[in-house]
Amino acid sequence: MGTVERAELARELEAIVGRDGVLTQEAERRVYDGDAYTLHRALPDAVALPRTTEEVARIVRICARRGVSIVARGAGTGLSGGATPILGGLVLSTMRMSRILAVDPDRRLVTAQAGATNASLSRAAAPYGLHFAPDPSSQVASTIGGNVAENAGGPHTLKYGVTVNHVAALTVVLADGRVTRLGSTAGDAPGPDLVGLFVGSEGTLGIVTEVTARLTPSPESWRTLLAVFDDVNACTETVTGIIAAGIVPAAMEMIDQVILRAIERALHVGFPEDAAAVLVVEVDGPEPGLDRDADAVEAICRRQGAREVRRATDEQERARLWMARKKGVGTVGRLAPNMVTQDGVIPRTRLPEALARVAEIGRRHRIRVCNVFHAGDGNLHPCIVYDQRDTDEVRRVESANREIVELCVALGGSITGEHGVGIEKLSFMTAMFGPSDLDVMRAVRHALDPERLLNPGKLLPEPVSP
Amino acid sequence: MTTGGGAPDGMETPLLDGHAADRVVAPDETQLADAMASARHAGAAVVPWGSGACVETGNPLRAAAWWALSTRALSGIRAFSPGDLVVTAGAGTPLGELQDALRAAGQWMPIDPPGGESATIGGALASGVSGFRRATYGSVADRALGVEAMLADGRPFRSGGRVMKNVAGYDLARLLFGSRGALAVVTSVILRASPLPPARRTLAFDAPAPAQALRAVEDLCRDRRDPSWAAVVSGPPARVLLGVEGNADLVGHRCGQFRRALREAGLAEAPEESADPPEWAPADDAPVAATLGCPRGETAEIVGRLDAVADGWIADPLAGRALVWWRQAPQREAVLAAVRSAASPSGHLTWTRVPADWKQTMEVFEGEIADPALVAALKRALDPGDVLCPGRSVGHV
Repeated sequence: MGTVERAELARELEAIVGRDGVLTQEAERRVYDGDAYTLHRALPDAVALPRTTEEVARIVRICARRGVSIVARGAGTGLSGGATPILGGLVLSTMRMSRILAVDPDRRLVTAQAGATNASLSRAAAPYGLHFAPDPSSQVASTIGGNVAENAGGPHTLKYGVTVNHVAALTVVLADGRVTRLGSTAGDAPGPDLVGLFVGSEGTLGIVTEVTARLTPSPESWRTLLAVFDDVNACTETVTGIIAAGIVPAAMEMIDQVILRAIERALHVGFPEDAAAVLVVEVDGPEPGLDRDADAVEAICRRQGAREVRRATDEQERARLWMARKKGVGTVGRLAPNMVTQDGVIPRTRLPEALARVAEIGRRHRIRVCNVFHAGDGNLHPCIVYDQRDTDEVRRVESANREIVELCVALGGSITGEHGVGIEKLSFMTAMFGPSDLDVMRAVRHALDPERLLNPGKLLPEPVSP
Repeated sequence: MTTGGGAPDGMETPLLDGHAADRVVAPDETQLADAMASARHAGAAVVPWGSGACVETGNPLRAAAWWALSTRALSGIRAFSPGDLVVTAGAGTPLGELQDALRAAGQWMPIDPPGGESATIGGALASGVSGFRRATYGSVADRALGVEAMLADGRPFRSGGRVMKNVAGYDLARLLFGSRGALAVVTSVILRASPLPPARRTLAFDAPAPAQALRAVEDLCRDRRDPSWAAVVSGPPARVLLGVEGNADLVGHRCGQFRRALREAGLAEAPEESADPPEWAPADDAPVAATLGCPRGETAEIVGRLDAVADGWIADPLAGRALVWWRQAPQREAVLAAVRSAASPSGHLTWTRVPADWKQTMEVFEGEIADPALVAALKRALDPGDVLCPGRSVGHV
């Protein structure tokens, strides 16, 4: 975009959001050049910081008229480059749209602006014994609008489901600037499930400005167990064993030795550094019946060869354990200057095979791969640590990355469980879907955004020209 | 595939608003694209047909001729991996057949759409109508990990996959949920199964007044002690059924709590009933029925307004909805006015079953429905020839 064009755009935007609501200086725009997927960055031509749905609608109408593309962005914690303005254009940040608009405990609903953080929803609901169930590791920073765009998950989605299972209604600004309301506070609105289509669409179908989310009763009680294994296979077999026994834990997370050690050195939570892997299992619900489930989980762990099974004895110990889990990936950052986190999903029963093959891929490419992931969902998060200054190592990381994704697809899985396609996994979409699958998805997109103004270049790869 | 005009063996002639299908076809997967092409060439609309449990609900078909596309040859369990709790079923698979396969592995599909055991998986997805288990176990869309379907032009497509979490591409199973056959023909669905709960009980109570029955359940929920499902059935006396499912310790404890709470609310306990909730459907002989969706906590009010004028109803206080019906052919304007004035301003209303002549001048779906302009845009993109169920969806799309 030329200087004159940008100045004109800025002037029009300032009329809507005020002078301090538009950023055009390069240093200011630099802040919005990407998200937590750091391999690719691109400068937006301008950044707008609206406060209301109406302001968003007016901005979109201006951009539509000018043919300027728009990348909606929350906190920028995404891991797939979904918020990276690869084609420039306008970044529309929801950071000034962070208000909780209503908490309705009897209806079990909370309505918030798109820029409200995930954690703020649960905080607002806590006095009523309710919470917003999806709990991505980024929940303190990540926004509900971003969670909706990516269909975010988290450790407790094993029992409670992902974002799409907890959204009742959305206020959306469409590509032509029209404002519409999707879904219903009464649930299952007649007609196609447009809320379900929009959740996870990565900002390519419309800009979500308000979210009405369902609240879940907070568990009366819980039992959190830490099982210590000397053998990785025993740990993964335990995961399958617990599910097969008919128990649905609230969460079931596996942490391997590399990450155990990194966590222990950084956070001192008392993890045994010599263990091959640990499994964190949480069962929750009403107090009666919890011991029965926890005893059953412990028995399965021991039968599979756990050398030790600990139970968190109070809320503090439990909180420390979860803090360690959620910061696990972060502590790996201490092992090397750079890191890439994968998000493949495999059928749960293929876990032992998948982990063995991931380790083999790592050895063959002489890179360090470590694992901390949602074992109960089969959602792998192999982390590869490397040094970006070492160009040979970067090449080996890229090859290993691709092989791991292809492995997940070959095992009947998915290229992404909760981080989204963005730009990172664009080239893997053809490994998962055939041409007609992708054509139908493109047709859906074209129906809602024919000029491709909303987050262009994401989610769907360009068709191969004949 | 049936080539004549008649229905396959054992299938009643499909009727839509009193009009018989001009032809019934029942293609298998290899014949489906040809069947669609034949319909297009014949200038006929295509209406996918599962068990027929929900097909009566919809705006009038906008077509001179129509073919019923029976999914009975798109039936059967395609794959089942018990350790993964993942099962793939053809669209025409009856729910009963799916449950039998799962039960053998100690699992189940905790959905109870209208049609009971004969409801098909594809129909359950396309209709978007769930039974009483909806509130705790989710809708069939919440359990659909992936879907395979075919566009009206014969192009097959799929989305999702066989794993628990998957955000690759658009979730087209969600788009087809509630689409009532207007966008594509569902051919198979990949579903997440659940372990069978070790214990299942159903408590029953009688209440002299319907509002009292519903408020008693709403109060349980206010205390965040939700049963697994709750059904309230018109009386007199109104009957409350509470499903309690889970591990044996929990079920025993909850039953004790619920008994105390409902007795304190003035309800009389009746003998326990079968472990399954009643079917979410109007009485067979009722010519008029409406479904009112409302936010949680408003069901008692809605039923309170309609109990005196309707001939019967069932209500789902956990999901927030009531299904009311009239047995004698009622006066149209009086029923429309009564139901519309009882409906929640922040809810939706579906005329589940009404005589064909009523439909000519009304919208079957009212209130907070899927944005008809968006549905129309999606319809133009996926079915530009307007072959699949033209006119039947929200806003006569």
